[in-house]
Amino acid sequence: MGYIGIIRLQGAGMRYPRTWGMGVIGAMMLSASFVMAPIGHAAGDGITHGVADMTGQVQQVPARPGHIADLWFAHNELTIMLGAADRIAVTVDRPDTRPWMFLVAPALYHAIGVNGPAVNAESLLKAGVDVAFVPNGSATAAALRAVGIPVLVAGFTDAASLRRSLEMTAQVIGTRQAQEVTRAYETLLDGVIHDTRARTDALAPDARPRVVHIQSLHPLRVDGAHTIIDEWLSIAGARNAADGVDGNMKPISVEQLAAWNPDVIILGPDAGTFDPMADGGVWRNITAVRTGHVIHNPAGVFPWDRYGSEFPLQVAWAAQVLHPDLFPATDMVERTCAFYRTFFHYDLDVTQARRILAGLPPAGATKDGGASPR
Amino acid sequence: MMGRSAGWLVFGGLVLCLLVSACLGRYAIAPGVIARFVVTAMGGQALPQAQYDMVHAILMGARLPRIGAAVCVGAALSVSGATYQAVFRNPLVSPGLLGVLAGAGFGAALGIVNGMGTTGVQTLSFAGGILAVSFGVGVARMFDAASLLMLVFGGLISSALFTALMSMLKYVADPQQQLPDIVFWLLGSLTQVDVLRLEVMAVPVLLGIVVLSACGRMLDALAMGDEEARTLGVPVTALRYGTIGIATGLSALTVSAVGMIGWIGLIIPHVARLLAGPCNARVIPLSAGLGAIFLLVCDDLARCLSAEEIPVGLLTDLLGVVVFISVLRLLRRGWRL
Repeated sequence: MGYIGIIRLQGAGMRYPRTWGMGVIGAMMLSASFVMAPIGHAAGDGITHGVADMTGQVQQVPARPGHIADLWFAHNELTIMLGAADRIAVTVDRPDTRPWMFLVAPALYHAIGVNGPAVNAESLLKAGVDVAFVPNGSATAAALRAVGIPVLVAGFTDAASLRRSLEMTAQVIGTRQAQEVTRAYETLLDGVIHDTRARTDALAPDARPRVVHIQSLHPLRVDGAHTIIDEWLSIAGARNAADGVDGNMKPISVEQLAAWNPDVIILGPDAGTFDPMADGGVWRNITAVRTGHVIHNPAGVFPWDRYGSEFPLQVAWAAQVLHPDLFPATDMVERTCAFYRTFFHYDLDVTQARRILAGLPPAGATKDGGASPR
Repeated sequence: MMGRSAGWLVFGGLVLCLLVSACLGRYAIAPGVIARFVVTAMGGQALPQAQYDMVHAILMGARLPRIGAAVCVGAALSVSGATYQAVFRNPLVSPGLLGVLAGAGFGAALGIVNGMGTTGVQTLSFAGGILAVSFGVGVARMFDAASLLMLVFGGLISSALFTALMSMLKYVADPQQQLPDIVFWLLGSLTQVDVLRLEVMAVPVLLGIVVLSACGRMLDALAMGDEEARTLGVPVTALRYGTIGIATGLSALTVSAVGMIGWIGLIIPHVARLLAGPCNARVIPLSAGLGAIFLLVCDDLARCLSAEEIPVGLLTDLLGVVVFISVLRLLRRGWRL
């Protein structure tokens, strides 16, 4: 009735034909429906529920989203772990950079690969994406929400926020299996942290080795305070020697490294080739190099040292490497196999586990060559 | 203050900066220890062997190559800028005019995206810089080889093309590893320079500075106009393309070694003119000294201000603004604005 009234008013006052007015109003209503209605389609029966993301913002997501866009490198591992690898329709991870991930979850080969979290909203719509996970501070989130795709910020920065991100993801996936895996994982995470701290908390400051974690050798970049690296170093009974550095992947000079003179250097999986003779011999005068304590960090589905669900393995590995006398019974091969069996439903053989511990890609795949789908 | 006295002043300032820089760094080495290190290196027994080894590694492996690189790069960029300004008869011209910076950036990004090591990245960067300038000059020659304006347009087109290509590589780069490497390279840093790379860079830089300084008087003649220069016997076209070629080579060589470092090529020649007058025979060598001092000071700050390495290109930009504002009043008189 209201619309008809308006048409009459417009028709009388402005002398437009009634049919033309109807057409204008119809077009406006059609346009409004395009602008205001969510375009992203709800999965399944259309039932949605509210889930608070890592920023606390509540998003209405389908009860069981069938197509997920996982736009944060570290989060794909969580989705795989929760049994939803086959629902990842769009991913930022690639087989050449994460060969173990694609070996453990070959369903990812069917996902659309995108280069980084800045994606085209229409591409996600075309892929039928029901929900998207993005890292902290993603510039894409607003554009995706504008076209009706629920977007959840999934970024985590420490063990506590890793738990929250996992719980949030399980809520979104909406299966009993996801909830059970979450509970099992949290039990493991808490247990590893508790058991490790029980032995390392009593260590005097002098008994804690000073460690520098090198993310890249060329250019030289290290991880400082307020990072997940700093957290696992502390739990494992070490001190981060990168004094004055705050945050991830910060460039430093080799002279600064010599000034820190760490007892142990841990090289990240993508750090590059280490040459102790480089820089005119500065490296070979550093205690860690002189005493043979330059260690390569393991890398599996995701690099263990960075933001990923293999955090409990990293803590156990670092504790054993840094304090073998305190953790003589830790069998990292066995632990790695058990973790992959439980959380990735993948039976690693001993050789594969050893390759992961050495930071190597699967046999037959070069570091950048990718793994063959099973 | 003109001529020779300015030259001695700059030379003295450079020596002082070199000595101070050798004593500065994140690894604390007292000047007395450095003196004892020198005595030990000359055959004395002033330092214990372990301490000698460490000081030797720090000074010879990390600090001095970097100081040498700062001197070379600062001098090369300043001389290159002074030459460009003389050839184009324009005080706002800098070495990036013909696209060398954009081309070098593209080459470096290409190397990083293809997973090359430091040497490969630097080689591609150098080649990219030369390619970009060749392209710009080629565009200019298609229309009017003798026109300065056409050269400027050619440079603009080349810069735009290679900037776009570089952006494309940034878009396809792996955002976790390669993109941060490209960004870090573009910010400019002297951290990657070692003795070998310094040796590769130093000889051509020195030769280039000597040759361009020797061309100073002919560049002065060129400032009067092409016809006047020709009547004085100056081979205008050969001089123009020859000096642009050497200046471009210097820029490409330094940028490929240390990344993008701005402002030096633009403002240092102006400071040199304030000290020594407009004669290019004096301005070019003086620019070399001043540029070396400026980059040396910036790099001292970059490596000493914090535990984290500050990109030196960022500091040259910041300090360049301060220096430019400081001398702008004096420059304004010369430009009659």
